[in-house]
Amino acid sequence: MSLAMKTSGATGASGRGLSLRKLGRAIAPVLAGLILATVILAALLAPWIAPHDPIAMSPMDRLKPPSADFILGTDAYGRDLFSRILYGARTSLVVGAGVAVAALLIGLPLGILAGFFRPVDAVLMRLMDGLMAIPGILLAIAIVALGGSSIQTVLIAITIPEIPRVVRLVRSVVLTTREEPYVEAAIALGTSLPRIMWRHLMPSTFAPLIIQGTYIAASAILTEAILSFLGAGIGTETPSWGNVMAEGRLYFQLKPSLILWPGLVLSLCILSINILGDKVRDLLDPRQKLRGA
Amino acid sequence: MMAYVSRRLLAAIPVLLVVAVFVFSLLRFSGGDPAAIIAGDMATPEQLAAIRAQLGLDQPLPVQFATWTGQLLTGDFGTSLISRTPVTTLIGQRLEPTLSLALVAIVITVLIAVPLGVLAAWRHGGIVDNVVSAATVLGFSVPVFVVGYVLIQIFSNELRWFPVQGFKPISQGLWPFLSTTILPALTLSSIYIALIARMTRASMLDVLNEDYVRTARAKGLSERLVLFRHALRNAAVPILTVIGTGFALMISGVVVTESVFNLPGLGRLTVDAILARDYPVIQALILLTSLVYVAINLLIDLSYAVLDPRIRY
Repeated sequence: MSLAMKTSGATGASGRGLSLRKLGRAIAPVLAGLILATVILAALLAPWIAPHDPIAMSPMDRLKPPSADFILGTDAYGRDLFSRILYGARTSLVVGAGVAVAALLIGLPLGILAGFFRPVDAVLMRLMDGLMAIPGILLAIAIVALGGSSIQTVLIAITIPEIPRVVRLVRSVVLTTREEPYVEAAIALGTSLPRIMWRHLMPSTFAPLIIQGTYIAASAILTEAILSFLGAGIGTETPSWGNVMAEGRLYFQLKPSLILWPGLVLSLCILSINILGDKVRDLLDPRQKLRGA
Repeated sequence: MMAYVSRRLLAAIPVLLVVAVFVFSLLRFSGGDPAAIIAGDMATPEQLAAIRAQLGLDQPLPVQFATWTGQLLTGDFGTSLISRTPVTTLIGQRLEPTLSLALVAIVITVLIAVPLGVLAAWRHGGIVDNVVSAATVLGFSVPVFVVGYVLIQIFSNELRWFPVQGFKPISQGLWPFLSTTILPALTLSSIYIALIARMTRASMLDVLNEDYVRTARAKGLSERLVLFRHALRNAAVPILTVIGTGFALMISGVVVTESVFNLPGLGRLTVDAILARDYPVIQALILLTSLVYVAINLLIDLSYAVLDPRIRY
């Protein structure tokens, strides 16, 4: 589901609005790229730049306000909030990238098969319809609750509800591509089926898949946070933005920053991925842009 | 029309069957033993076996599945393993907070999102359009629970206008009801407003270029009539479609919002049941949600014909 907004062609607009829009369109992707680069750097360098151990509890330092030592203060177990958010970036990025790659790798072959073989299509699409009728979040909570709260289970739990959308996307691209003259020519020349799928059909799915992949990554990061928040996510010995916020719930009245800081970082990260996704779509699929919707 | 409805109802059967099989096998193959949950830690193997026989868990899986679906068709959703209450009773008790939350959220969404979308499309490229565009991207990116806590912080902790958490039914008076429902509903509608404002804008942009809009303006109709009577009505079909596909979003939003605001609704019931491995409740709730999902999308497809007489089934 491409949730990020569709940009418009901004045709026939008033002068001032147009320049504002143009300015925003030019600056937003740059800012988004900078924010995302910072998050990635923070995740990679967390062991070196984190001022404290993100897991070590220190009863003497419970719920401290921000100070020179604890930039954002400490949580209910005396752990440094800033360090936990830094390490949380690792979890979120692994989940975002992992789910996107897994959903694309599983959905691509299924979608190509469904687009090419009628009988496979009938069975596979009924399965996908059923899977889509189960709200993804409930399915994910159920899988984590039953499979345990390891990061592998969470990855699987978030990936499964994303697969039907990838399959549908690939299938629709294959259905239109197989009518193209060059594919018909390949069939007429007696090219083997696997070769047609591999060389002629698959490449045409890449552009839409890359676009879809960015949105899946953003939505996976969000879902992980929701799962952790509901108590069905990764255990708190691995900090994630979601479980840092979940632990902050009890102390929200006392210290709102325990939820608001990780919430801000999480929102900025997802916002940046969505903006970059829109940018990638404009670059890869100029027709979308012209449609003005 | 009737032929179309029956065809759609028939098409819903395999979907629901897939859901039922999926949920059933997910729970059966997950390794947890419902009998052990009921019996507790002190049970002897004989007691366990008795409970398993009583629940039918000693039967082969296909038989269990057939029994279960047979009971479902007669309206028997089973009994909770934890509270020993019939699942239908549990759902009945939790229905009101969820329905109130969802309905108030939809009202707020339509009241805010549709006019904003129309305005943004009408003055395309203007200030309102730019603000709406920016706000919709934000709405998609800020998680529902973050919105919830920011609202609690502002309106409950700082301004003290609303209680922080809890739910009061409408039978206790309109204001107590609204004071506990408005913040959760606003929270829930945040992502929906973004979705629907964006769709309204896009759909209106398409329609505003049509000949009949030019005709309506040319014959001197007021701009408000042109926008809301002529354009919006024709732009409504894609907007309704998005409301239907956004239902999944609504479910996830309800689950999270009820947890943030501590509302005793169906979302909280589902999460608690899953975490406690209360199999009959999980099965019933997931199946019911899927049923509602299928039903809402069918109703929306049918409403196209009402909105747009050119559409026939």
